[in-house]
Amino acid sequence: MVNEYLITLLSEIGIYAIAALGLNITMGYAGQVNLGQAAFVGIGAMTSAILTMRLGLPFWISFIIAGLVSLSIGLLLGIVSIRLRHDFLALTTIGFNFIVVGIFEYYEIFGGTTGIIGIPRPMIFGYKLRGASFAVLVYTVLALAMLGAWWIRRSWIGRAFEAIGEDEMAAQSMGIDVRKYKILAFAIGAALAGLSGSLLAHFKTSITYEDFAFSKSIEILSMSVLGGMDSILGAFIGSAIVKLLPEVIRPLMEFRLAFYSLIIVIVLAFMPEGILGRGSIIAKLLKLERKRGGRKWTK
Amino acid sequence: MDEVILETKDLCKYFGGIKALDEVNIKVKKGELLGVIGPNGAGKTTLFNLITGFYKPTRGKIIYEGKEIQGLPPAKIALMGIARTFQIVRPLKRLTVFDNVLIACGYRNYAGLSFVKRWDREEYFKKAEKIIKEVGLEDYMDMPAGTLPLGYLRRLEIARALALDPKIILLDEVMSGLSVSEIEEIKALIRKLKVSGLTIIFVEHNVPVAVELSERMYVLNFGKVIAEGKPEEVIRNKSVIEAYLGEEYAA
Repeated sequence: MVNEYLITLLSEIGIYAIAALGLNITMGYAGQVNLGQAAFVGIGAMTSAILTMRLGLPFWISFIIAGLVSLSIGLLLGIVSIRLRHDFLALTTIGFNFIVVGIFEYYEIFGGTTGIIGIPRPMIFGYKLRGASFAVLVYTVLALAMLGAWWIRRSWIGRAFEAIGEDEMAAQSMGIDVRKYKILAFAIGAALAGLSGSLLAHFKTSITYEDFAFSKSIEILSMSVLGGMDSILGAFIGSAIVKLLPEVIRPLMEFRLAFYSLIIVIVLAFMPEGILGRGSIIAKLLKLERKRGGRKWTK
Repeated sequence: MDEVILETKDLCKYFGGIKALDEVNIKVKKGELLGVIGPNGAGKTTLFNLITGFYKPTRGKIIYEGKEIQGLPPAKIALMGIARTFQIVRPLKRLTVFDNVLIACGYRNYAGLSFVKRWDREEYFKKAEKIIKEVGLEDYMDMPAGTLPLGYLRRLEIARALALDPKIILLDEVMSGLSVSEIEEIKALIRKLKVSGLTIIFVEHNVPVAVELSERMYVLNFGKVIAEGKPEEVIRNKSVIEAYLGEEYAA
């Protein structure tokens, strides 16, 4: 029983780490505020649930489509974001979260107020993925996502993201099309959230609109901030701590939302780099503090 | 040597009722070191922002190598070979000096989907290092840009502009707020760039420095060109003295 409990927890940590990693790319790399990441998780979850249950598509195809649908909606939000500065973008993404949740609640196809129940488990060669085998799936996806994030960081996209995150005018003066990279940052972050949502749907097997409420966005944000917004491994560390602490200290369960908010406030005030972000103490101790151009790697 | 590389035709920029730039016609010759001076609010920075695409003109044309470029996005203009620095410096603060320059060196890789292509790390690193040495920042290569003093940041901005392999470089008050010795260093750097064949346009607040440095000058006042020519002639021009000191000194 203990094992099953741990595996469930581990799967959940992995699933949320994928969403937090997406947020790290949008917000940590490219500096685009997104306070509605849970909406993209929800879009992925609902897409995947509906495709497998109504259309009878296999999980694997639904999983990919869930990512693509989230990505497309992320593109749209990115296009909106072009015209907005940080604080307005924060409000817009919060509003977006509420609208998406409202739609889930209102329309029967998304399960309405009762939610969608009986979402099938993924099948592979006639074998149903549950428990440990599902956790393997989660961590495979997480590992691939991290690899992707690492590639992005090292590529010119990563450099363009960093530049627009720091100073949009400077970025433009260096030939970087700021609009394109803002949209791209939203799309990539949303796609990862969508994949995470698909996994979540088939992991929990029942989902309701409440699973993707604004408070969930804050939870994902607290993971991201705690781990270090510009860190890849940080998304996992953040997710693990945020998910594990209330399990260890039970009374925290009652005050989860306050707990997440407190994490964000404390981390931002005392160690804005998070646990593993650039310039953080642990990153320095572990010599993760790479020279940003990667000069150290080649010499 | 007299080939015109950049030209503005009746260029206007109005902000509401304020004519920041009004019917400005300037010609920039290839390889020249051109100064643009004028009192506060004369429209110098507005002119730069129009040429580099950060503002869209109300009216008029900007012709660069025979092509009209007015209204194009700044990134596109930068890629066409017109690089700039900012009067209020804009370093990527958390990144190192090296990375600031490297990002500019990668300018070919941001358009379309070219970022997926493989790239030669060594080649880009060498180029960034070379440019950093050229502006004399080699000892600060691995420092976060945000920790550098103003004089070094100005040189960093020049380095970033050079990394774009530009044909024209626009320097917006690169010497303001600097000490006398720092000004001398920047002047030497600008002269070095001039020798390399680059076309340089600089906006300068400090008239003696501008007179000393430029081969030709435009003087702006209230959004209009009031004088043009060799620096030593321009500063004797009556309307220029008026603009700077008031009518009573013009006699």
